[in-house]
Amino acid sequence: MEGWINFWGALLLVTLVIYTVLVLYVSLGGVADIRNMFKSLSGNENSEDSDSQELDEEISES
Amino acid sequence: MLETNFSNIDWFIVAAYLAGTVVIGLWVNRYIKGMGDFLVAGRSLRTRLGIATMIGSELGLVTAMFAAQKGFTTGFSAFHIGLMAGIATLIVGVTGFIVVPLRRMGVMTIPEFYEKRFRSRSLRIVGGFILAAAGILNMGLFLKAGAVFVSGITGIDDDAVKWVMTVMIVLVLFYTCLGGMVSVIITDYVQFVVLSFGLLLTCVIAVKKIGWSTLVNGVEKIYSDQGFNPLVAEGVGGSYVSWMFFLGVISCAVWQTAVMRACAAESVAVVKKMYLWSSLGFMIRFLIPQFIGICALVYFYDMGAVGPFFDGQGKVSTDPDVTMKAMPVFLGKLLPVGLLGIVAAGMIAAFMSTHDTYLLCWSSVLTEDVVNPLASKRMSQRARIVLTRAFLVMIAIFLVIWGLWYDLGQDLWDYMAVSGAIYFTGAFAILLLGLYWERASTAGAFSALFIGTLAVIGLKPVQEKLNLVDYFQEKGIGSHHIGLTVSFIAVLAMMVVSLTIPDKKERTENFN
Repeated sequence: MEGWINFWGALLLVTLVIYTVLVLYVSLGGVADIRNMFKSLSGNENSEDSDSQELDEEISES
Repeated sequence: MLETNFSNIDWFIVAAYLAGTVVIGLWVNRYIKGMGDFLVAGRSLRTRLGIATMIGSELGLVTAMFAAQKGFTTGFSAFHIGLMAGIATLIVGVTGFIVVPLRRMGVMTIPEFYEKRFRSRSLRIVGGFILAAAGILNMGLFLKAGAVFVSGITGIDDDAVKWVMTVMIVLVLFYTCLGGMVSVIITDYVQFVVLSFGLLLTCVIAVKKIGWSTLVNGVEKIYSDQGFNPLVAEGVGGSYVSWMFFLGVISCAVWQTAVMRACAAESVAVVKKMYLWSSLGFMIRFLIPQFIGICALVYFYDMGAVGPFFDGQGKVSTDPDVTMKAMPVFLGKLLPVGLLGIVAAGMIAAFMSTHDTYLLCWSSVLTEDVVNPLASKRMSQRARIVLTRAFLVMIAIFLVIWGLWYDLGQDLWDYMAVSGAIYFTGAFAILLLGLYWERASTAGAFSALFIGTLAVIGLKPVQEKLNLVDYFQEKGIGSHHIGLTVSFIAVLAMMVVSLTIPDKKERTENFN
């Protein structure tokens, strides 16, 4: 049982430390990504996705 | 006993957050020009935002509730769920298993993959219907879990909670209908930041107040060995741990909401990076709430094993509705004014972000994979967006009704795993064999889908209807045994049927 206690304790501690770093990195960097996303969306005149459109037409023809 | 520290300042923080989400919905609507923008944000998602939105939508209030409940009812043994989820996501990130070929194909939904791979519109429609039905059933208790949380942390009565929940679901509908995936991503990001900081701080405060050694001793007194070793814990064991690993793979690579994120990524490289980093998030989304659940367990035990969480003999309550309440009540007593408001706002944000993701996901599946393929003429983008919005409203109405009258009868996590299994057992077989086995056929895919629906037997009310409860208890068969067996049979059936009834046409694309 001692082994399990140490294992879960270590897992929790290590995960919390790494997660704290990840949260800081994503929180700060995410703002730049949001800006880029809006820039990219502003540039899309018609964003019709592939959505199997060609296949749709192919199937409806056959 | 149910009195909490929740004050007017905390209500103000929550209200400010809710108002902010409305503003986001109105603001991003200007960027939505087509279905691609509405459903996958024009495929413009980059790594850091991808990680935030992936963790944000998965670290929902419902996840926090069922994970905390597992921590409360099984102690540290519950940590194996997070560990398995993290390992599974890491493997998917390193190998690109399922998600990379899906992204390469440029599909938006999994049923769309069925059609592209097998060139069968009927398969897409049937698959889409099963996916949406199982998905909507799966989120059927989200509202109930949210209501339990709000009443537990704020201490308000049940009637008031119903109104609060209704307002929240209306707000979710409002900004999701307007902004689609773009507003979902932004709200996910905000929720990720607020909730992550709130939860990390909660862990620190809880350990400081209770103490690590008190926690370990408390769990040992209540559950002995079973509170630490998942292989010997009651209702867990080796097969349950295997089921958790399988669910870990499913939730990141087969579950439609995660696949939607992968499909919204800018490139295959971003998909892999997203999964590598998100593996930590997939683990933490269980670990932190489970840890808070454990803290709640020891806290209430040290208070004298108080009711309703413990019975007269000092044993942990077996009523799932009661154990689900332990975490929010504990938070309401532990956290100081202000921080309580931030954590509550983060959790409510999590509740809303899970709802927006799932509502958008299932309504888009119904539009794109069921109604649009059934229509004699291809629907216009405008008509598809309007229909998706109509489905959003209809599903929300269903959730309100279902969430009020369904009797849980089992842990929330097990309910969610089984209801999801109705879809994913079949879908896993189709994705696995469809992507990595040339000879997979349409007939084989249909057989996997239909066999997958047998997973519904894992739900307690269905077992009661079929008079199977006693039989399963006598034989020691749990819902995880049913899920694993059905998954295995679905893969096997698809292989056998594909070999006996192969497709006539040669495949023109290489899907490997």
